[in-house]
Amino acid sequence: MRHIYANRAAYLLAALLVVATALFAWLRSEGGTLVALDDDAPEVTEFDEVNGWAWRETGEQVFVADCQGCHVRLTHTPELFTAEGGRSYLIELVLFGFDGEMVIDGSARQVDHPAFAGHDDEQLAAVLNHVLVSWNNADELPEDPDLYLPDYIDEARDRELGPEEVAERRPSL
Amino acid sequence: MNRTVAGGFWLIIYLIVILSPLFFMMIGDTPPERPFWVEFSVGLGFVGLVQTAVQFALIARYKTITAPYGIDLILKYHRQIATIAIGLLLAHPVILVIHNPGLLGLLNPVGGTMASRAGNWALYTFILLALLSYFRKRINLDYELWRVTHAGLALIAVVLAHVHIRLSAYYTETPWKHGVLIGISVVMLASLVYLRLIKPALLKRRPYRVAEIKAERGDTWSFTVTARDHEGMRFRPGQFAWLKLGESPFTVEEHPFSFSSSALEPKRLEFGIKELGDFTGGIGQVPIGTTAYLDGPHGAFSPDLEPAAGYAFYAGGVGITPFMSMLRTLADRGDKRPIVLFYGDKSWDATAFTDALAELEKRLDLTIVYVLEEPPEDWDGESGFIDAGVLERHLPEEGIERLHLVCGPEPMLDAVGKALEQREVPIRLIRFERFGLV
Repeated sequence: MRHIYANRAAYLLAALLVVATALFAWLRSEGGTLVALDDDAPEVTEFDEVNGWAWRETGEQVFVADCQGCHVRLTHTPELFTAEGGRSYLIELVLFGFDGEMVIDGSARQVDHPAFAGHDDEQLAAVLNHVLVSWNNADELPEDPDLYLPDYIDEARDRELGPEEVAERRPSL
Repeated sequence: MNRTVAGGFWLIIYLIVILSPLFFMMIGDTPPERPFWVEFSVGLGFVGLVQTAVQFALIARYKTITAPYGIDLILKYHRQIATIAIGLLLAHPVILVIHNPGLLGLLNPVGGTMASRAGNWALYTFILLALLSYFRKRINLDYELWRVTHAGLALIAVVLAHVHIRLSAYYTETPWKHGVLIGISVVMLASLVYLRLIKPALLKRRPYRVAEIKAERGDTWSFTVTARDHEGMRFRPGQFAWLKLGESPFTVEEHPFSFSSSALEPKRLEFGIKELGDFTGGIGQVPIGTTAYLDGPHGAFSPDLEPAAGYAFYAGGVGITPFMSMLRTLADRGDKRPIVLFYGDKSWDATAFTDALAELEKRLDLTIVYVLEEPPEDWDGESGFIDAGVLERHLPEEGIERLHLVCGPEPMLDAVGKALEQREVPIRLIRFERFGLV
């Protein structure tokens, strides 16, 4: 009898864990918190519109949906953006992916970054802008940074690079 | 605290520990919200990881924790929940990739980010650990080697999982939250230190000496140890202990065996051991005087744990061992309650303890029903298996309300379970003890 009850209890406990996790996910996806929520949302900047195009909301949405799983903060992006060839490299990185060695904070790492060519031009331009101005990154940008527009992404699609080629085009910092 | 209350208490503690990461991730500084499936995936990862860490505590043989359930159930749960925990951990990347196929590259164990690589390798290590456990017997993996590998791989996997969490740095951007997670794992991993170092050090003070090894029929041995300068081990009939042989209690070679002696003799302990594997195969050749250590008593299969008007015992093969202890103890106590023992085995020559049982029949209100799979030609007793027909003929109507204790190999337990159901024995009166504890 103990074993019969134990089997039922094991399945019940497993179900309980999944249900509790689903509840957690639902609360968190709604922005829920049990005590105090520090608003970690990026500060609003003067770059919220580029040539009249309001990218802010789209950029945040794409970042939360597709980037945040791996990246919490990307604080070295302005440095890449301002390096020679860096501006187009960032577009190629999100469009075609990256497969090769990347030096981050002085240490070399083998990186396999996914390609997001399936996203539309507006989404990719917006998310790049989001990264460029968030987490005080805007302070590192030049005075007139020429943020991304969907047209820039559209032009870059014709390059049809492989992820290894993107790795070779990464600017040295 | 009675067993039910204690069982409920530990269950609540267990759930609090397992679900605590989800709670901690929702208090204090919380990162921005993400889509449901991303949070669900991450939540499963946290729960799966803490569950795997708790596994160390489950197998540490803490008597306070195991007593309400019996360590056999705890070890069974350890195996069941391990499968579930690995499923949860596996679901973590799978859900992420289904939600966003662009992340498929992160499943590459040599590509992706450092965080994804650590996570991948943690998962592969958990899966390897599970596969080695499932197929240990089929691939003839040495038991001791498996135990060392099992603990080592679990340790590596938990550490890699923590590296993955740290490098992913989402919830763990708040250092104390990762501190809590690491704390839970460290406390649980400390159970391994307790089991392999502290407990053996305590056992060192309570050595036993191999005093007698007597051959029984059916490749079975009565293996007797006596306490060396201490009061021995008080146990309940039906319980068991892990036996270690040799001068060092720190050896990983240890095996669980049921006591077969009377619980009224704590200084002279006898085990019924059948020759089945490498260790038990040589048990008859252990030199008298060898030092032994016992980790026990364990188990919740005992007539002493609940009141009963009488007993019906069902033994299959070497499953007779705990019943020998029960019968000897009841006889030493002068117990007058009626007992019927159904004892199934392959053949009469394979049936152990028949002489001792004949003696016990004289001292107790005991009826023994032998059921032989391959009876001799002149056999006039029951043959075949313990089934509904055997129970119909030998279990009196009033016997249905007795406590029914069943011990033997898995098929025998299933068959007796069905027979008891057909005989309309209430499930509340049936207790099973399964073999294959480890």
